[in-house]
Amino acid sequence: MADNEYAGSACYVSWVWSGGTIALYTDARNFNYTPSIDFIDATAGADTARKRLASFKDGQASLSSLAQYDGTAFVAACAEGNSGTLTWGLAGSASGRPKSAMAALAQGVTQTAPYSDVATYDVSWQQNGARTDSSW
Amino acid sequence: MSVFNALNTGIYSALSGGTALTGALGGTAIYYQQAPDGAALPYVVWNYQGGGDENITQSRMKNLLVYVRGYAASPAQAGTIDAYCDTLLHGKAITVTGWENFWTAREEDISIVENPPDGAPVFSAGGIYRIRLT
Repeated sequence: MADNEYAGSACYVSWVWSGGTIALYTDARNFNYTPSIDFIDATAGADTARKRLASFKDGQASLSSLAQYDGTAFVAACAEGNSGTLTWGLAGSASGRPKSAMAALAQGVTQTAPYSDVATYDVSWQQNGARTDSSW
Repeated sequence: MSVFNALNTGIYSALSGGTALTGALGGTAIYYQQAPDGAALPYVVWNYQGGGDENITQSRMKNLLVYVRGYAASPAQAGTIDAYCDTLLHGKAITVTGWENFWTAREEDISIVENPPDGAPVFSAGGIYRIRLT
């Protein structure tokens, strides 16, 4: 039986916004996407336990990257309030690999400069529509 | 991509460019790994103590520990040479062809005396520098 695990180093992430397209994983350390769902409380009558109905799907993504001094493209692209499409593939972007995409709102870049370590950018996105799961 | 040759060139250039250091050495007696057999004191030697690739992003990044020390006939002279090396390296950017040196900092201070077969002690003073490249 073939093993098809892969390391996070294979990850590909791009962000398409009004200013263009930027590949984000080149200097990134970590990418995370967390889906979520709202619930409607359906508990009633003589129910003795809480009952829920699934409601709106949602999600958040985040990326941690090493800051680069040779430009401001990352900060500009991921500025808070920017809307666009976030596309990612944890196993890379080779044909047939899993691919996900969603409309999203950028929540801005947290910039960190520890004295004795590399400076970093951390950005998160709020999902702003349906997520599409497919393959490259 | 191996960084030894490029970084060695950078370290040598950084050290040999220091006139206070070369004045104290009486020239560019600055050697990689070991001094030539019979080399006159004082001199400087550097070597790699450890480190390597960070492997934390898709971009190549090196995190190396380089031991730079001066050898001399007295502890004071060795200390003086070490101080000159420190001035030239700690917090400075080393030119490394094909790489960008974004962090050079001294982390460990080391002082050792050696007693070669001829009986005259040789004193060394130096430090381990963390050199990070991308």
